Amino acid sequence: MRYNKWKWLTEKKAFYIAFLLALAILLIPLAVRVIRFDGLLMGSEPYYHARIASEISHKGVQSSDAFVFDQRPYKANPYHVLLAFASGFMSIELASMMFPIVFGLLSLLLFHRLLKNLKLDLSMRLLTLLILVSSPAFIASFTLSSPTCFAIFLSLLALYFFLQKRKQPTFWLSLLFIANIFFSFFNAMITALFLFFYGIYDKKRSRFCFLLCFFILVAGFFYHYPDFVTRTLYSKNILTDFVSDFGAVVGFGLFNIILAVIGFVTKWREKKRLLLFYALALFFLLSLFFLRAHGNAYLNFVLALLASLGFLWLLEIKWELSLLKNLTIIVIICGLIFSCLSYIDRVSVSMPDKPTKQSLDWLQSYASPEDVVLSHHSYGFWIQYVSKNKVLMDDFKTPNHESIWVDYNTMLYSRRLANTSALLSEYNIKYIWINQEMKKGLVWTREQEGLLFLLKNSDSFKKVYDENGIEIWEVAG
Amino acid sequence: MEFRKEHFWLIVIFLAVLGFRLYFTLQTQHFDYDAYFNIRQVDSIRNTGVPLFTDDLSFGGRTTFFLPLYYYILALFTFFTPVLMVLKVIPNIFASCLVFIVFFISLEITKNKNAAIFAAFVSGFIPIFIYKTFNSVSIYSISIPLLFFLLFCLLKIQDKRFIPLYVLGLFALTFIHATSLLLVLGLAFYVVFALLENLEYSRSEIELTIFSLLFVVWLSLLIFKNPLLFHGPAVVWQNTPNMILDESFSRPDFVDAVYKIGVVPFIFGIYVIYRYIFRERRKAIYLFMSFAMAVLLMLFLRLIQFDIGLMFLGIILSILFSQFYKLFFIYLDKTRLSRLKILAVLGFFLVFIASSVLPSALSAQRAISEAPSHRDIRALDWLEKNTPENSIVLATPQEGYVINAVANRKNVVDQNFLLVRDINQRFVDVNRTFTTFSEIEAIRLLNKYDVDYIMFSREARSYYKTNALSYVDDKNCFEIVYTFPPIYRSICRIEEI
Repeated sequence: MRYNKWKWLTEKKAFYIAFLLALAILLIPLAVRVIRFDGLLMGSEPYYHARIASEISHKGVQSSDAFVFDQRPYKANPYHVLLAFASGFMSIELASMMFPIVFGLLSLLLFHRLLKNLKLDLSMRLLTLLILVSSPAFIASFTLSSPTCFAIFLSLLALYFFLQKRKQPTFWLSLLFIANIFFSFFNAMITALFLFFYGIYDKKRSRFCFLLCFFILVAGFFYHYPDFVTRTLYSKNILTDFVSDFGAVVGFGLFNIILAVIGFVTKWREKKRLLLFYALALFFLLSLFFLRAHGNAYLNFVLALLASLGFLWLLEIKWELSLLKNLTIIVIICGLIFSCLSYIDRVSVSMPDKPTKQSLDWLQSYASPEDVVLSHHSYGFWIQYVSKNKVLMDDFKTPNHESIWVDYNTMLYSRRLANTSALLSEYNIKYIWINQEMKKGLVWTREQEGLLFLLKNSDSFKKVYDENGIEIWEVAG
Repeated sequence: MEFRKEHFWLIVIFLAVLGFRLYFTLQTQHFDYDAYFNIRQVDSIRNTGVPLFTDDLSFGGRTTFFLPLYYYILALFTFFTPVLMVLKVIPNIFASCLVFIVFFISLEITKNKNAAIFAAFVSGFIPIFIYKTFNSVSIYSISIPLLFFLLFCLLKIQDKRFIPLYVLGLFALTFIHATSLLLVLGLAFYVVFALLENLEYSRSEIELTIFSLLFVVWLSLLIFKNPLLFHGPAVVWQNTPNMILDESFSRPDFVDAVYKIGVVPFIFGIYVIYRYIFRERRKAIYLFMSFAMAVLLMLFLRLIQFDIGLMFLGIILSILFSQFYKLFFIYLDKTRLSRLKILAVLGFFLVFIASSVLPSALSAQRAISEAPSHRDIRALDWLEKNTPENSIVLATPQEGYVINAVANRKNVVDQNFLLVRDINQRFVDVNRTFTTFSEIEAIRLLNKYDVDYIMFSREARSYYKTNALSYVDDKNCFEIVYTFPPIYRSICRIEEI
């Protein structure tokens, strides 16, 4: 059903509204980081990507990541190469801030064109874009530096050219699809899945689609074997990986989900026309069970379309009580805005902060590069990038992850000096980095719990730094 | 509106219920253990304008989370009336207003004034509702009447005047208590019932359900933002320790449940449910059945405590009882026994007095006896005057609030669990401290929470089923500083390298 009341809306106006909103939303966290945090990158993973890019620019592509005690293999990633290339004429931090935003805006443009190719009504397209740019998953994907932003852009670009009616050179188009292999096996699977369903849909290009799908899957498998997943799958709730209001980093607002469910259900009869979207939505949802939030950034585009369908359905149906209709629409809009603002607020002031950076800068000047640092695994990437030290654990898996995890917990929670000292020595740990978050529940909940007790009461440790609630302890001997 | 005979009786019932409540609550100047949390919030608002979201005393000091509107309402009254009178009287007035709401709901369903009057009378004497709300400044004394008021507005939704009332009421309820989620769940069940049973539902009801769902979800996200980020979806269980959930739901006693609801509403309310599931269909009845289903689901999922669930069920069954009353007398009119109608009414009345009013009185008496005794309060006063300000006192979780409120000292554990990490471990530790035979273990646990004093009250004896702490005979480590109830000072520390 077409919603034709928005006569003031033109093609250009629709895109400019969405573009300007996206620009504002993506720039706000950046502005906060520059003004209040001296331009520190947000989050944890961007530091990993910045470090790898920095290594590539200085030493070329390495076969393993040596900044974690249990070295893990490394496979070249186009995003790291791009950042390394950009570091030739700007700082890596600046590139890490700018590229996600640029890719976000370009992705928006491409998605807008794709929606136009689907012959959707202009008001529906505008609504989809507005819901998309205000979604926490979009904000996360295009403010936090990660290969996802580049991968999404390339995927949309490939999709855009592929769906053009005029013939495109197949070789260049294939390259765009094949490039997804190098990001991760998951990206390869998404690309293969799209080609597979498109091959079913479009008989004329089915041969090309199936061949390319097969090639991508096989090449992706061999390229990433055996490390299909580099992230550590710490036990978490699926809901906390999926819903930003429950804490998901790359998640969806509850109202986005509610509207998408309404859209999914109300447009079920048109599923043939929207088959690709339904199939992709199902795939990304299932991926939650195996790969946590990895597919959310992609699912977001599908969800935005379904949510706009749901919203328009609520607008178009005849309400008996117009007061309730108006209040309901207001509540939905407020709900969408709330999720967006709440997420922006959360991500803008996320760690690391200036005292953290200060302490790691100090550690860099004090410690030797080969010294290993023990801290919470979520701080691993910061320590590696800023103080240029190895860590025992970070947020990505290593070959011997399970056994190291046991020892890591023993070191943090044991009150027996002999056990802890032996493990510290085994892993060559020279420094222990502790902040207030770790003391207030992230690791410990009581004052003299585990390692904290040993640090205070044993001569085996010497406090070498204590400022702004951050302590650095040196392991004697 | 014309003042009629039924209005007169309604006012009489209201005054009787209120009088009954006040009679018992004014027998003591103290309150139930749970009340002291609420009292502290009212005090804080009076003194600073805001409740205690940052509480230095609870769990040794932490950020707390709760919905504040109820406390603001009570605090408002304290500007015109002494605080003690407000805390004793106002919650009971709110709770007593339920009789008006039940009357109007029952009248709307049955169109029978006598049935509505009797249902109102029944709803005023639900033993568990009285037990939980008459002396505890309980939030349920306002949230339950407000919830049923919203249900009344839903029944009258065709009258457009009730729509703004509903919206305002829903807004208020969402800021008072999480009972608003029960409303939404009940409405969802109602819509499902309506679809399954092919009931004639109006679009207005569907629209109201959609609006209520979205409105409550949105406001809940706004309000519960921090607890949601802290606990994730487990916030629906309010971070309640497993021990308490297990205790609350262990061996639910059917006879006890009937006693707490009242025999009359229970039996006849269940009959009405049976009749309207299997024999007839009536939309208004299905609405309340849906709410009963929602309560049962929440009980099953342990989202609410057993006694709280019984309160809701008791009121729902009281409302459904009105339909039974009407049907009974319609039937009676068709028989030869119609001239014995007066006797039948008297019979109902006497049975109700015996099965609900008397148990309500007994429940109220029991609640008074279970409240902190005068001796306990004196001991807490002593603690306030004779111990360092930052002392931590170990007692049962039930006593946590009263330690904060009366002794003005930190507790180790109380009953507000949101935003507390490792609550299960803490509960296990406190339990162990009171029951262990090992002095070393006791001291280790006391050291873990930096406990300075242990209060071994009558409540602790009863809760942990022990007459004495087995390790306090060591005078080197435990000094008795107060005798009745015993309060011990913990002296020793254990270290391990």
